[in-house]
Amino acid sequence: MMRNQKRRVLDAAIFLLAICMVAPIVSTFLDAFKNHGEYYKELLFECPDFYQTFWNSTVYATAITIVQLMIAVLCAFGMTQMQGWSRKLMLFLYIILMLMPLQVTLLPNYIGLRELDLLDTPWAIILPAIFQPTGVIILYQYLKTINTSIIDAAKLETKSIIRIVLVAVVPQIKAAMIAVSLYFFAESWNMLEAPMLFIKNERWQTLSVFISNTDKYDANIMYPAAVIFTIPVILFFLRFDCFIEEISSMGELV
Amino acid sequence: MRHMILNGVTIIFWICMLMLTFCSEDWHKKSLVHVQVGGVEKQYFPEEFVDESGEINAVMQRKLAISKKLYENGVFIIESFEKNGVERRRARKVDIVIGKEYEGYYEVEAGLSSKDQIVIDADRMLEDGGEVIVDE
Repeated sequence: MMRNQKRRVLDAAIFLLAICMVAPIVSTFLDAFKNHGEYYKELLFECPDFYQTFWNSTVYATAITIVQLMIAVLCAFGMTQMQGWSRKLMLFLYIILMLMPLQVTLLPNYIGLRELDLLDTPWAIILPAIFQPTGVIILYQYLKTINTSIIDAAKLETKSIIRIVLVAVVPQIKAAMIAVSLYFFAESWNMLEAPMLFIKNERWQTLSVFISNTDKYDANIMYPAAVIFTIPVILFFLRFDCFIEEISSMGELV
Repeated sequence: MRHMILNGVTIIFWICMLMLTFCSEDWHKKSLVHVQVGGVEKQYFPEEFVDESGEINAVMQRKLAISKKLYENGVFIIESFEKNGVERRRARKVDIVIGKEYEGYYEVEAGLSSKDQIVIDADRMLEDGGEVIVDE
């Protein structure tokens, strides 16, 4: 009886917390429809910069997701094939890199991009983002659980690493790859600091920066812009959430 | 079934965004009033004065003028403004003070300057402060 009461109080507390977290999102959605949809009309028909930044974000997020996924799969597979201390060292370095806050890596990235003369180009956003360590760690954890006999069999057939990965590894980690892609896409779609620092030319700017720029744009159009901004990620999540559940249920997602 | 619906919604979303990207500006322009503009005219108006001998004389003087038709329909000037990162134009109704009438024109005493661009024709009813497209 006492236990049931405790459970109810806990449920109520969690419910209140959830409401607090959801309230700003709901408020944004409701504010976007104020004034009989005039804000939507203004955003969609009177603000060409919105489309420019929307497609920039789409291209960046897609490119980063695809390339980062390819690199992460190869790196994770490479790490599983390492033996002894080298694997532990690599894993340690990856985890250290993963734990570093973004602000720590921003300056070295900025200097590197400046030296390569890539500032103010789309590469300034894409290149630093495709070498993030988080995906490698997640895929590495998942790769540890797969059937290695298929990989061993593939090794007997071919010496090409790419072929082994494509034939023996990728089919086994599809769920993890899709879940990680979703993470990569959301991460690159939402990124704000890197575009703000590395891109000054508005032609290459992202939607996240557009939404934060209330000096130049009417503040009212930011509500519908924020709603549209969330749609791609929500759609991808709803479409592929079964894969996240699948790998979460295995308890291997870090 | 759920996946099919989500696939459909996703495809529709991206198609809508693509369509709006290419068409929204044209649709917006079509919804606006198209106007033709011109500068404020200068016309000759008779000006009477008394000369040294005390006789009343008349001379023709060029002054800012506005046609009767334009005045009766309301005088709108074109203003430039920036909104959402785009340079736009709007029609602003001005109250002008008129003077003499001569050959279908009113003399403009106040409210307009020679630099103003005024609306001389519009394809629809103009609203004060409404965005317009100026047909060059």
